[in-house]
This record gives sequence, structure tokens and C-alpha cells, in this order.
Amino acid sequence: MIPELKKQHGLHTVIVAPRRLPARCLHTLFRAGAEFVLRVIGPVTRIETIDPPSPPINWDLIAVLCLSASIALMLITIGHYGGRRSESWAPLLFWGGVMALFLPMATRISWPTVSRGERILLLLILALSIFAIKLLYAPTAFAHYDEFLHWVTASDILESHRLFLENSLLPVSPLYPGLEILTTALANLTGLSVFPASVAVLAVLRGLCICALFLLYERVCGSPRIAAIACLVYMGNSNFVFFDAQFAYQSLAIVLFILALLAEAVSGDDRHARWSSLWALVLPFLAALAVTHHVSAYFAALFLVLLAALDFLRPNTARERARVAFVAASAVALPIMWSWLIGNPSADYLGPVFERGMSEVVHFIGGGSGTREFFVAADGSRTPIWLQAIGITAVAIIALGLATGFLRSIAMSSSKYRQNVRAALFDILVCQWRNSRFVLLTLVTLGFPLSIALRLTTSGWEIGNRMGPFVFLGVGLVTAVSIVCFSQQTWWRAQVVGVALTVVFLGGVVTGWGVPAERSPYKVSADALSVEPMGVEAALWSRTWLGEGNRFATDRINRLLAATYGRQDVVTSLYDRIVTTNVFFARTLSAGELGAVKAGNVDYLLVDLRLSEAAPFVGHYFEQGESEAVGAEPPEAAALLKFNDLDRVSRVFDNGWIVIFDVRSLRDAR
Amino acid sequence: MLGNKRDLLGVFLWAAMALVAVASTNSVALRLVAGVPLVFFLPGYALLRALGLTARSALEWHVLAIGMSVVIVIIGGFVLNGVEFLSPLGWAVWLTFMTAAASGAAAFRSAAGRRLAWPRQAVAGLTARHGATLAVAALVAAAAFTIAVRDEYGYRQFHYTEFWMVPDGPERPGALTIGVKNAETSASAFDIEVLLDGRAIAVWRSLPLDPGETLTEEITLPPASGRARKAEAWLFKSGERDLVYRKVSAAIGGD
Repeated sequence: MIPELKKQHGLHTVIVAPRRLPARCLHTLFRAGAEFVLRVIGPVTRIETIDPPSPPINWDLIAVLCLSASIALMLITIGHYGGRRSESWAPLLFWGGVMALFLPMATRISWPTVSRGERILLLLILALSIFAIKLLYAPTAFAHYDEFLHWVTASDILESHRLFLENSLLPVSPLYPGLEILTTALANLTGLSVFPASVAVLAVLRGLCICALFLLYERVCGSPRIAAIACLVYMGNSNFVFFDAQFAYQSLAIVLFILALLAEAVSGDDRHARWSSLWALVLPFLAALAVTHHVSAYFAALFLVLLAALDFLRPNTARERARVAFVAASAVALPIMWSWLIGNPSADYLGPVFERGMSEVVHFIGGGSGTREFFVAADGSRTPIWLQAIGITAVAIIALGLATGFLRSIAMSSSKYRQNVRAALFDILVCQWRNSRFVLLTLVTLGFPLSIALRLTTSGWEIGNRMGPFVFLGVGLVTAVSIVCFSQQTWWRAQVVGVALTVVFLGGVVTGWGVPAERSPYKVSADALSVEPMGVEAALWSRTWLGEGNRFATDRINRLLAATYGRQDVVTSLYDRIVTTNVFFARTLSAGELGAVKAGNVDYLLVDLRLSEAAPFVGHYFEQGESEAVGAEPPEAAALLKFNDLDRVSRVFDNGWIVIFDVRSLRDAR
Repeated sequence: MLGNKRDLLGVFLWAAMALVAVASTNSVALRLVAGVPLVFFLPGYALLRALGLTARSALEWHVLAIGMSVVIVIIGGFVLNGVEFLSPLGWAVWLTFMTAAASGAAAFRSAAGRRLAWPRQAVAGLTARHGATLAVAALVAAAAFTIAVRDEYGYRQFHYTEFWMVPDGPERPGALTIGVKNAETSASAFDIEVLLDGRAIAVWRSLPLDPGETLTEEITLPPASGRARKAEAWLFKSGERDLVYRKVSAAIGGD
């Protein structure tokens, strides 16, 4: 070898040769490594090979999969039954049921040779079954925190036949009444009460969401298989199972968001359609979104402005440019106009959250402390280690999918199908892409690391969580592109894909809902786990015996029950700008606490003695940030019951745990 | 005359039937059958036909139709609020009007949007055996839901007795209502003792209450002008006189 080398390079000394040999080896190694990396992240698989000719719908398998899904739902139900009673086998049944629901369906849906119709049908069944997970948690009434906030708005509309009534639990809710309008319309027309009407609305929205998402992906990439797998990945976003399926405005907003993108794609692809038809298709969805949810409307504006910018950068017709500019301008103008019309309430509401979150991220990136500990609740309870492992593995799988799918997706969106990543990248660099929507959704995945970074901080967690459904629109597509390139050839790879998708889905449930996804006995200040019949009965008692509309001050959970079941006017810091925490926590009443009672015009104080038994699961009993003022320890029972000793205060109700004090004389005292 | 627009007549008739149902009956079942399509489908369907939209697939067309119906409902909320008609009849009138108007526009339009039918081959191969398996799956899911509902209604972690004392109102000064509700697992007998300024003024002994049962008693306190007083009511479980099970009070007068 060495003489040959010397001959090739015209070398005459043996001193050089030993240096050249490792250099050559390194070069070869580098090339091999580079080729390996390029093989992993490219080349592009052509669309025609992604969707091979497929047989007709396999009803045998669909029937069996439906049966397995129903058995999985039964396991989940029994898991909840055992969880309420602290049975040790309950988590196994619950999580086993969730896995048994998703794994067979996901494996079949992502299988290479399945007809488009079968994929859609199974996706629809899977989406509704996942909605059933949330329904089985609380099948007869609202249980989740945000649901109570919107239930108040819906009840007000039903009872008063008017919009825009005040809601002290969430003042911004009546100003974005899209979901409540839809629900009360159904309740009015059918005679149903709010809860069953909301279940019907949410079920329709869930089906609509997954079908619209599939169609959007299919429009973007042209492949039903990629579209179906992208939908499965999207189901792994931490908000899909619970947050975007609860009775709250974002559950409708995310559907309107996807429909707006789909309508934009439909109008953009229909070259022969008239202008009037184009705007009549897109504009209504954007308008409905603007009056339904602020954050989603702003995300839609961001998406559509970026889409317009991409469409302006690539070679395009003047008509098409005018169309995307019109759509983007509408997406920006409508939420701003609506916000202006209703007095810009979201600035106060969202501004501080965004500000705190971003400053914590900057602090975190700069090496500062103050980060949030993952998988540990505010009361110190830890997520089981195996669920932590699933959550981390899910993020790792997504990261791998993005790493191996990003360049492929970029290449697939180039103006020509490129087998060569470099050529495809060059196309993109010179703005030669065929489909701006594909480029946009690929670039959106850059938000994924940001959303993870935000989740590492205490205040930024909420922003990172809200970003999830929007970022996952891109994550779903790019990961799906990676998956189809991986699992084209062999059956075992298709099996691995099913398992990986299931881990991603379970990871989404773990990071989004976490351990509270399983029913368990009552916990202090733990949202749905704190809502139980005794508290509900106390709230109903207040309605029956004290009448509606009294000013009630109480903790954050009983506040929900008093406002909804009790129809009381609750005192909140968000609406009244009055913090009543110290009224309850202080050992004696001082001028400050009395001042809060007077300023809040409080009629009744509802004391829940269970608060004295444990730390709050979500980190606070009354208001966020209260631990800085009152300490981290649970309040003393004696402090909560200090009103017993006041002559002018009546103790009107007592059930052993919950006590209601009539403090009107304190309030009216000079 | 109708040609390929017969579906529009069907849509209009269904909407009109829903209007009649809402105006004439309180039957939830009937109104459910008539009302659900009126909220989620018919107006959007008619509007897409009027717009002349041609979609790539039947699924796309119907998804957009449902989405457009949702939008029409939301717009309707604001319109009905504006004219103070946000009631069951108002909703029925609005949605029927929108469906009728869009159907009319589509009927008189020369190129109404093509309605894509669902592909017939989609259900090819579906046999009775499949139907039976799907029915079993539906039964298992329904059973799971039933168990969840029964557990939700039946399970109580906390067992308790509610005890209260509230004034009857300003028109009956000094009158108080005392109530007990048994939410324990078994029947119990209770004693109630009312004290005014530390002295017993009324006693009820061995009041039997089954689980879920409520009992109320009224008491009128003797008048005492101007002086602040505090009446207390104590609840005992019969046979446990040394333990005050629940305690409530009412501050009276002294303003």
C-alpha cells in the first residue's frame, strides 16, 4: 500500500507516508460516516413508493380492532374503579388499557399496504376511543378545572339568553364564547342540559379534528399513509387526550385552526374557483376562531403570515400571491379587531404569563437556577419511574424522528422530487419549493425544542404546553416522513413503528395529564381529583338554603363548585383583584384580612378543613404564588376555624369537613 | 326541474321539520334526532352547495360542511344575541333560515357545488359476521360506560352528615330553620340541642334518618331588643352524648 501511495502522490520520502495513511483512513471514515448520516436523514423516498397499491378495506381486521378497543376501554374503566379505592392493580389496568387501545390500531393504521378508507375509518374510531378515555374519567358531570370555568359562561347564556355576562372565575371566557354558543345552541334545540350537550359537541369536534387533520396532511404531502401516520404522531402531543378534549375554548379552537388551514389549502389548490368562493371558505373559519380563543387565533395568524411569506418567496402567480396575502391579512386583522372590540382583555391575562415564561427561559439558558423538576408534582409526589421512562423515551423518539425526517421533508417539498439531499436543499435555498405548506410545517418543528425548554421552567411551562398542539402539526408530518422511509421494506420495521407510535402517545398522556389521568382517592387542590360528591353537595346546599348570587370566598376548588353547582358569585383575584388567602390562613383576623372581606363585599366564607391535611397538588390552595406569602406548610385547622370565636359571625353549615361562615356583619361593620 | 339538486330539498325539509319539532314538542328524543343535524351539518351542507365548492373527496366535502355548520352556529349566536332572540325557537329559526337561504341560492345557481357521494366500494365486503363482531364491541364499550356511570354515582369516599341553621328571612325575625341530612352509609338517629347564650332552649331526641334523608325543624328565638346574641345548635349521634358531632350557630341582633 505504502509504495502505491507514494507512487500515486509522487512522494519520495518514507517520512510522509505514515502521515498520509491515517489521513486517508480518516478521509474514508469521514466519507463513510457522512454517507451513513445522509442515508439516515435522506435520500427522499418518492411518494409513489410510499403508498403502494393497497387491497380494499379489511373488515375482518376492523371488526377485531373495534373489539380490542372496546376491551381496552373496559380495562380503563376497571382501572378507574380500582384507582378510586387505592387498589394496587389499578395503574396496571389503566395504563395497560391505554396501551391496548392504541397499539393495535396504530400498527394497522401505519402499515404500508392499507387502503386510504381503512386508515381514515380506523383513525376516526381511535380518536373517538381516545375521547372515551377522558369521558370514562368523569362520565356524568364536569370534573376538570377549566371545564367549570366555561360551564359558568354556558349556564349564564342558557339562563339569561344573553352573551357577554360576567364570569369571575375566568373573565375572558364570556368574551370568547364560541364553544359556549355551539353547546348552548345544541342544548336549546334538543332540550339537553349543558353536560350531555358538551359531550356531544366535543365528540363531534374530536372526529372533525382528526378527519380535517388527515385531509390537511394529505393535501400537503399527497400521501394517505404519511397523513395517517402524522395524525398518529399528532395524537402524542401532550394536550390531545385531555386538555384539547375538555369543555374549554381551545378544544373548539384547535379544530377551527386546522379547518382554517385546510380551507386555505383547498382554496389555494382550486385554480378555477372564484374569489368570492375562496374568501367565503377561509374567512368564516378565521372569524369563528377569532371569537373563540385568543391564543389559537394568534397562532393561526402567525402560521398564515409565515405561509404568505413563503408563498411570496417562491415563484408564484400574482393571483395566488394576492390570495395568500388576503388570507394572512385576515388572519391578523380578525383577532386584533375582536380583541379591540371587547376591550383587549387578553393582554392582562396572557402578557404576564408570557413575560415570566420568557424571562425564565432566558435565565435558564444563561445557566441560572429556578427550573422546574420534571415528573414531580408541587406537593412532592413523584411520577412512577416507568412512566417517567415512557415520557423521556417518547421525547427521544420524536427527537429522532425530527432529526431523520427534517431534511427529508425539506427535500420532499422541493420543486422536484430529489433523491439527493444536497440538491434538494439547494432548491430550497434558492426558493424553489413546490409546496409552501410543506415547508411551513417542516419549519414549525423548530418550535419543538423551544417548547421542551419552556417546559423546563416554572412559569414557561404553560406557554410550552400551549405551543404543543401547534408545534405538533409540524412534528407529526416530519416524523411521519421519517417513519415511512424507515418502515417501507420489512414487516418487523412496521411492528417497531407501531410500538414507537404507542410510546409517543403514552408519553403525551404522561407529560400532559400525568398520574392524575388515573382515578385516585381525594387529593388536596388537585383539580379533578379534588372534585367529589361532598363538596358538590355543600355547593348545592348553598344554592338551596342561601339562594343564588351571594358573594362567596373560598379555596380554588370549592370556588368552582360554589360558582357552578351553587350559582354563587365567587371572589377571585383575577376578577375582583382581591386575594382572600390570608383571611383563611391567618391565625387571627387583623385589619388587613377584615379589609379584604369588606373590599370583596364577602357574604360567606366556605372553609374546607381538608386543606389542613396535605400540601396542594398543583402548588396552591387559593391563588398562584401564595406560598411566598403564607409559607409552604398546610394551614392550621385552628386558623381556618378562627371565625367560630367571633360573636358576630354565624356558622351556618357544617358537614364535618366543610364549614360555611356568614360574615356579612363583619363586612358591614364600620 | 330539481335534477341533481334533490338533496337540497331534503336538507330544507329536514331543517323545517326541526323548526316544527322545537316549536311544538318538549320530547328530547325527537328534538335530538331533528336538532343534531341542524346544528352540525345541514346549514354548512347547503352553504357549500351554494358556494360551488368542489372538493377532492367526499370526506373533504363533508368535513368542510360540518365545519361550516359550526361557524354558522357561532355567527348565529352573535346575531340572535343582537336581536335578543337567543332562545330555543330563535336557534331553530336562525338555522332553518340559513339552511333554507343557502339551499335556495344553491338551487337557483347554475353551477352549484358538486356533492361527492361516498364511494360504494367502501362497504364492500362487510358481512353479517363483521356486523355481529362490531355489535359485540359496541356492547362491551356500552358496558364499560355503564360501569363508569354507576361507579361515579355510587362511590363516595367521604361519608358525612350535613347540619345547618339559617335565619328564615327579615320578615320573620328570630325564626331559624335547622336541618340535618344523613349522607352516611347507614341509618342513624340524631339528637339536636339548641342553646341561646349558653342555655338550652330546645331539644329534639332520637330523630331517625335513613341515608340520603333530610329533616328540618323550625325554631323562633324569644325577642330581645338591641342585644347581640348567639344561638348555637349542636348535633349528637344518639347514644354519643359526650361528643358534639356537628355544630352551627346564628348571630342575631346587636346592630
